[in-house]
Amino acid sequence: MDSNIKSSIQVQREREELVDKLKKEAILQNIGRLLYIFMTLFSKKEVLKKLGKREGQEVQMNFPALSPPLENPCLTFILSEHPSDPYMGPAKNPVLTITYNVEIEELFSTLNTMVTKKSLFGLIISMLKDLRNKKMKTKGSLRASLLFSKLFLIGDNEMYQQKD
Amino acid sequence: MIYLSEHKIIPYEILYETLSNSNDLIFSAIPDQEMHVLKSFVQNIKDTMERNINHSLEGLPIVGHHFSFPMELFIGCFDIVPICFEGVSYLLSALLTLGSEPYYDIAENFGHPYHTCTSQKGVIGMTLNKLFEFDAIITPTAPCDNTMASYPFFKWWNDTPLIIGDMPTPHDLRSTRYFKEEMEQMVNELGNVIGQEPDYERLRKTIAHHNQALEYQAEINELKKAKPCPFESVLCPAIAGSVPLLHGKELAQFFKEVVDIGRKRYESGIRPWGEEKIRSVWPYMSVLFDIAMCEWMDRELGMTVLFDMFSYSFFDPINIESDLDTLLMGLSNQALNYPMTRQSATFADPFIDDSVFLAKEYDANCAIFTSHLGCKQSVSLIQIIRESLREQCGIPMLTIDLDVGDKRFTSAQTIRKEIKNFVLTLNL
Repeated sequence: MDSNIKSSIQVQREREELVDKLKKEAILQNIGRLLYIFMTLFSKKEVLKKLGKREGQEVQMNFPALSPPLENPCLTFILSEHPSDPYMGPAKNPVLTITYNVEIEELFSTLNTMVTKKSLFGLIISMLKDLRNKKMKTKGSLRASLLFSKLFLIGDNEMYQQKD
Repeated sequence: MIYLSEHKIIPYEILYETLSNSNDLIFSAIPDQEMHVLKSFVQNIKDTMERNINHSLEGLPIVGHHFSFPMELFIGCFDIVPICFEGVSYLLSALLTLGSEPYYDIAENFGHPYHTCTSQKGVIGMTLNKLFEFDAIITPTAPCDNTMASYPFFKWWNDTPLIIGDMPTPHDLRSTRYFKEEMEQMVNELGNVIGQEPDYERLRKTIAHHNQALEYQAEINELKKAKPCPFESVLCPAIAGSVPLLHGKELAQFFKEVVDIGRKRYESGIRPWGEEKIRSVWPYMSVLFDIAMCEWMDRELGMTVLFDMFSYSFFDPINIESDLDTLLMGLSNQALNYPMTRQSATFADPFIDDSVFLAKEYDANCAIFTSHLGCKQSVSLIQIIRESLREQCGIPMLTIDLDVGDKRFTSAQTIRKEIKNFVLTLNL
């Protein structure tokens, strides 16, 4: 009887852990999918077309708030004129690594702030603020950082000027 | 293995988490006037997921079901948590970078053939990973061989009661009566399994809401005739997802919101995403693993997707004042005409006729057929549908080989390239 109860509690704990891990994986994948959608639909096409030598380079985004249970909570984007979903996991040779040091609850609002800036200048100011507050940390090429930011800058898309 | 009552529907918990986050970001990052249909869809599905999770925690029986079936019958009669197999697999495909791919792989590694439909393969993988705990599963023997070959897995794997309604191949009055009796049998069997008596009075109320949803859907169909079409193309996959996941009142609510959006746009003539240059019909399914595909067609190509197989239902409403026999006959008639069952579970004529009718009635310039790996019976019709559309409507049809729920077969980039090249040939 006792062993049955123990086993039942153990099973329940394992399921709790499994649910937590799957939910955090889902958050990571969902961030990747939404950023991919924003990039392909709303960012400036010229930026994608002028990648030049950056074509094929990797940019890694880290989200430490999702660890644990995830061992390596990061997304890797491959810069390309024809972008695809980022993959889960670290880059082999990242030209830029961005780390978001925010709680899970703040992740999506932080991303929202990043993508909806109306100009690159606004985005840089916001990034500098985040860097100073240690909400964000970057490692790698400054130019790659600016280029990558431009890819997600949808705030100057014409849809923000229209009214229904 | 015995689990406690919590976490019996883990994929729904994941979906709820994902939809909540997507909802937050879409509402905050996308301007108010944009993507109304997608916003409404995400909000309504999220609310339904939340309700289902709460009902599961309350201990209501978990009933898995096939998407191509009027679940109003069972939701009206019983207190259950309905889990749509196909909806789970494909919603995850739309919202996550890996989608349901890890679960397809689990099912395939277990021995399930790679060429079966991903719509059920996802839930097979999830069940093998112990993410679902069903009390019963219900399905008709339609619309395809995949269904009939995949659903018995659950009975075999962990002896979950599997309740099957035998659907005849001809879809005539005699078949309607036959399937009505099958449905009654299914209700009785499910009642026995979950220990509940069917509440036919509540069923009437559920059907009343469903009738309302059908009226709204008829209005959506009418509004689509307008040029330009007042809806975003994403409405097609949104309807495909909403019909099996939202029921009765919830479905009526979603369709009402869509109608309101359409009316407003029709009257104002404003389409925030731009000019309509091409009107397309998709005789088969939309690409479900890339939710951005429809927006891309709207914005980059000016191409509207008017219909896919799931987004038109020309059902007659059911008279809720009628006796039970007539009520069930109405539901049986709907079951025989449910999206995909109507086109695939009988002789090929409705599939061809519907494709031609939609292209003519809605003045389409072209058609695009997604040749889904799992759907052998539809692939056999591609050439006939292409010739019918060319001869009777004078429009060309592009065929794209893919798996609608698994981007590893044909990538989103390849599909977009094919559509782009096809558009160049249209000379519009």
